[in-house]
Amino acid sequence: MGTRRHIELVDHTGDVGIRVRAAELPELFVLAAEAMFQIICPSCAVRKSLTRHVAVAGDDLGQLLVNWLSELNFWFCTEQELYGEFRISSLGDGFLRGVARGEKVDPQRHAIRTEIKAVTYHKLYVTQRDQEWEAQVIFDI
Amino acid sequence: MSEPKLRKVNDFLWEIPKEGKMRVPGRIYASAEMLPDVTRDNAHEQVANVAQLPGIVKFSLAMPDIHWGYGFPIGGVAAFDVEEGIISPGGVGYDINCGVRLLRTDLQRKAIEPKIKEVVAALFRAIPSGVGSKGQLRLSAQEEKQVLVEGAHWAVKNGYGRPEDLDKIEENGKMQGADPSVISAKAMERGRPQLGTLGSGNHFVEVGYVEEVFDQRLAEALGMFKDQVTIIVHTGSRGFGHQVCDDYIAVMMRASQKYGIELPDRQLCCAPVKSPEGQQYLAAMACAVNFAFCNRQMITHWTREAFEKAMGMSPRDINVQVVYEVAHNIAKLERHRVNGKEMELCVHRKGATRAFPPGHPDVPEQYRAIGQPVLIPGDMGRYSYVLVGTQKAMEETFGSTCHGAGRVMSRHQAIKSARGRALHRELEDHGIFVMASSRETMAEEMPEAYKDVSQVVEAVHGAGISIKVAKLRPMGVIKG
Repeated sequence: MGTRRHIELVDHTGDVGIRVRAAELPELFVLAAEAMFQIICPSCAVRKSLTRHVAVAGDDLGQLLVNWLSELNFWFCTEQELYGEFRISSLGDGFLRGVARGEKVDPQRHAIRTEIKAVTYHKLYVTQRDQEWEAQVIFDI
Repeated sequence: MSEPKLRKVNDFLWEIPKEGKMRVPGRIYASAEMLPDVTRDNAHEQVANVAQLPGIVKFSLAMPDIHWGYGFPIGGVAAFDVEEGIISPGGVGYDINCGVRLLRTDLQRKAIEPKIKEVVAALFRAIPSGVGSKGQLRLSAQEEKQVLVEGAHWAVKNGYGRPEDLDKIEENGKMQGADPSVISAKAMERGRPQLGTLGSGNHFVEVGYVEEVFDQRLAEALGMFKDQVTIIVHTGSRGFGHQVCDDYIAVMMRASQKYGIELPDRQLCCAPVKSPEGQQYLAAMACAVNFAFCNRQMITHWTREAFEKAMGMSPRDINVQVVYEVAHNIAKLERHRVNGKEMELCVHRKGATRAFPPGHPDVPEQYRAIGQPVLIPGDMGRYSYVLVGTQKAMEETFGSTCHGAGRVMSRHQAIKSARGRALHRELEDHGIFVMASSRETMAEEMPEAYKDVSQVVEAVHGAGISIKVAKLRPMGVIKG
């Protein structure tokens, strides 16, 4: 069975969300980050000139996912870093380590569309079924 | 989707009977024609969820602009006994003290109509707006801490506005109890470059005029008259407040477990008001409240300058004065009568406005005879309203009313529906000149994406929890 990568935007009256599916859990977290940056800057071509190391803790997979995305959003908000490539190096026992690669926003090339206020717990889930992982996250924008 | 159990109390009020783990009934203010919008996204379920939280008194309330929020509905009002009740960041929202300031001028509509494009362009240049907008200030960490404690007073002290502006802001522009020591380095960092910025999304500065006066006496008391040019500033605490909320949701997740609080939804996480976690959140929230007060004060200052430049007139001729400023997302310790007994309560207003009655000591002296001004922005294509608070609001809703129109269309739907349309031109055809940071913002915020705010206002006026004073019509808007 090959890896199935699936990203879907979830329509929400006030805001916007994502639903992602992957065969493996680390890939699920990678897809969620990709989807979040698609919301921030759809069709942005991002060069990989900088590397951001991320380490977050969480009581369960849902909290780990929220904290991973919140950390990436924090660096976007404060340092204007846009990422196009993600890797999870360790995930488990309430801890996640990952790497994001990208560049600083270049207004000439990047049409930033949305500011994400926060990654919420609203309708959040991370679940495994039929040998596939699925997660949903809603963003406050 | 569960079938809503709504019992009619009167033409503008519906009750969710107490059942299951609910400690009090839920109550939603709305007209019958608005109910399908209320129940369509199951926001009434969130009203019932809030009713399960410890220490809630009387009712879990929602205003007619209710829609899905995170844990608490937007448009939600809930008051908790300070001794036994809780405080929840979800009951305030991510944009702490998102709010509205109304400015009035001595100008008549006719004076500004020929120059509206210049005025809007000058505002757009003067007020940093859009995604990740950064301010003109370079604050040090120490100065940022002063802003968090002093609020709008910091701005006036540093030359952004006039001392008399401060009398017309909720809490006089400075909420007590703010303590920067409970703020994370992340929140400090996220906030520092954003002071004095509008941001993005539904935030705006709107130039309009008084199209209709409903109550001459009340309008006069507010210094308002037909055809008068007005300005609305709608923004909040920017990334600072978002990060404070985020930080304290993590704190409250642990606190809810520690204090054994059963949550129907994780986003309702909370702590007893008097617990260390509850007290820390109150102190942190006050910092964000003050950030937002300062933010709107600085935008007011630049608005004055932009008007003077674009109109080629002196400050005295334009005479931009603050009518009032209200918070939409806030929790406050207030005294209210509950079943004949005076109690100290922690009142959460999330997407709701305080609406205190005539005679209340928290209403500025100048307005004490008429009640607290209430400012209800609509969408950029239609109208906004000015109302005042009432004694009935004090008795029924802890002195609260609605805050705006509320979305009916998702952002995605709005963009799809705007495809192929020249929204700029459509609005200009209606006499409204708009400058936005991006095409998408224009599309996301188009008038059809929102409920008609007049329905919301008619419902709170009909229910008697506020009184209509005037209707404002937009002429020019800058969008984040």
